[in-house]
Amino acid sequence: MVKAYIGQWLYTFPWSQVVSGFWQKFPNPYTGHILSEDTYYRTVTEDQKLISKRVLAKTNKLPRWGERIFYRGSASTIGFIIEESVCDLKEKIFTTNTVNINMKSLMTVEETCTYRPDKEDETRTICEKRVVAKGELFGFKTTLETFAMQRYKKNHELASLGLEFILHKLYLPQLPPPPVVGIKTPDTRTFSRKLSDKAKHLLKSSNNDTLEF
Amino acid sequence: MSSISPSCQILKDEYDACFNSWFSEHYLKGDTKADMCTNLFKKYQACIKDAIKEHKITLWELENEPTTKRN
Repeated sequence: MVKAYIGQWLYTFPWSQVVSGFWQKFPNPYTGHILSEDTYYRTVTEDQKLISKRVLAKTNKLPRWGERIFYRGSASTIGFIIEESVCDLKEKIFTTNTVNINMKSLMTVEETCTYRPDKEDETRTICEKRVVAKGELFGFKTTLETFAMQRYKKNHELASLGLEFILHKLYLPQLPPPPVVGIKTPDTRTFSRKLSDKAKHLLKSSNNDTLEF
Repeated sequence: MSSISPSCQILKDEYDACFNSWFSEHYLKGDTKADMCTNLFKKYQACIKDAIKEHKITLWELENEPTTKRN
């Protein structure tokens, strides 16, 4: 069994600003678990696509039961993530794909995000996310997938709020920075309302569904 | 943002500044020639490769061509 999650996020900034801000999103108050970020590959193709690869280091805590089962003396509390991205300038589609490179023998968590201009309002950008968690260890697959998915659900909203925070800092510097609220359990409705009042922009996370198959 | 290795931090900061400027001022405006930051990137990339070896991470992608399909 594999667990998958599909979600959407609306940024109240045009696509060009969102993709520019994407490269500058670390550090921000929401993603303290990201320790480092380095670009190790970058090229522009003949059809003007920018391809980039970054390696991110993050804290990587297993739950207690996981430490007991999987700790082999060499387990590190730092995990590495590879982020590959393609910026398609002509089509205005920016796609990112992130996957863990440690502990692949236990599980793989792969996230794909696609950023496009909102067709109804080009001053906004829609980000579609899809994540798939796949446990690899026989007998623990479902437990691992459930754990990975719970952690993802907790963190992915913070990642979006983090980018939103940076976009405000870069493109609305005349306004006070958005309040950093609820890092442990973010209340996006409150966050949105406060932002809307100040920036007169709409920030809204939209429908999220969990699928299991 | 921090680099994976403190020894690459200055190179990273210089390259990132160049890249961010190139991305918004040139690339997004259709001038997609990527040579503006190439020298800075080469130095930074060499430093990162060494740092990654020290961390004993297997990044086979480093040695290969991009896996992303080109249309």
